[in-house]
Amino acid sequence: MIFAGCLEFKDSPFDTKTSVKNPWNTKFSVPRYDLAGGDTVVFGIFSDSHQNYSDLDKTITDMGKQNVDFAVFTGDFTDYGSRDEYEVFYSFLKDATYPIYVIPGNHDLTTTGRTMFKKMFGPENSFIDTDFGRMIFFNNNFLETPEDLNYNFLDQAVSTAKATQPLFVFQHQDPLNSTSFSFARQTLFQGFLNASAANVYLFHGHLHSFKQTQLGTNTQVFQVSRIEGGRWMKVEIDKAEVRTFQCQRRNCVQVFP
Amino acid sequence: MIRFLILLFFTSNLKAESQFGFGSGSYLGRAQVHGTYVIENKKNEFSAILGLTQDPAISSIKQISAVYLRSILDPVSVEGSHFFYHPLLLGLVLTFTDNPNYYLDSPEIYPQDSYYDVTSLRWGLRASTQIKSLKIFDQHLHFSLDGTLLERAFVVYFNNTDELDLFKYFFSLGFTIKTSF
Repeated sequence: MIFAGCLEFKDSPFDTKTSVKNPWNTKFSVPRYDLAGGDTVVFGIFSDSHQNYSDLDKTITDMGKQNVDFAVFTGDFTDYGSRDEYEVFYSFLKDATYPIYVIPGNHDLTTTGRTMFKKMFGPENSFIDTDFGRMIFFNNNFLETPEDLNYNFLDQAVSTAKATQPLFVFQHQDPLNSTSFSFARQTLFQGFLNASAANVYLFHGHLHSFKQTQLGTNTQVFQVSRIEGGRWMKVEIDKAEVRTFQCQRRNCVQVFP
Repeated sequence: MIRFLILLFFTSNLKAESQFGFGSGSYLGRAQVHGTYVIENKKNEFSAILGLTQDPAISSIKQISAVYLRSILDPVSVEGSHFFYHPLLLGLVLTFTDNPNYYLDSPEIYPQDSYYDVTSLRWGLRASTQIKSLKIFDQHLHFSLDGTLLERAFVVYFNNTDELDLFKYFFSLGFTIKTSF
């Protein structure tokens, strides 16, 4: 197999050619749940794998052993957005036994990464309604794609949700990171979230360590660790509450509530 | 980079053979023009390569590359003929693109010049097997099959365990046809 892969003629390390026809995220789906009937939603969140492919491989396996229904990757699977890095990450996703949604990190959008992301993963911003709330996937990498920091999308995704519908927001950057966001933009972002009467659970990567913060009265912000050492987050949702866990390999500790 | 390649090409006063040719693949461009100096009893060769790749998504990619190869195994020759077979040459490759998507220093939108690593310059190991001096139409032609392993493979190797199969994502074959002049 290694030998077969080596028989390829590749033109350039700088091009964006890929054999992917259907972008990965367009295949993402979330199962139906009957929370009132006793169903429990279990999903994983992992982030910032960069070149840690052994940990990526193990974490995808570990999340499967923990019976996650689906997972979300919150960005930075490359160091500089090159085609070879995209192809390696994609090869691990293909081995997963459950759906995974991928949002871009700042590294993934450098060089020609943005073109690669659109080709291999699809749109950067999207939301889907599920039986446990609305999932919002938002590209907030302001320095890399300033022309595409689409607050109109976020406004629409939040304002069109039902008043009691919990929001699960996934993005790469910490929305309160002053390196990337001015005070005005931070305030604007919080304004969108405050417009929701329901609970908001925001997950982001980028800073490589776990942290939990409460914004206002109804928003919990979870900073997801980098994947090194097999770290990831697990979320469980039933009719009573939303619980979050910080995991390393297959050991999980509840961190909220 | 360009100055270095020109110096490399024109300052060598060693006993040398000059070659000119075309190639494709191995990360140096879809269409390549090669200029090569073979020195020291055909054991060492330096090449300067211009490469062009069309990519409709981001326009054309121009590359300028430098390659050094050294013969590791003794060449096989046929007595009384010009035929030479070099079973294995190993060396280094350095390739640069001026495509504005890539950079030596991070673009101005970032807080510092070194916000991200250099992306417009990549290097790797190169292996080649060559049939030399095959005479066709009064020209001595040299055919080579080349393989390039990009530097990223070594980062992956040192940061991971049991991931050797990932090398295939950083490896490419290519070929070259050259003639002496």
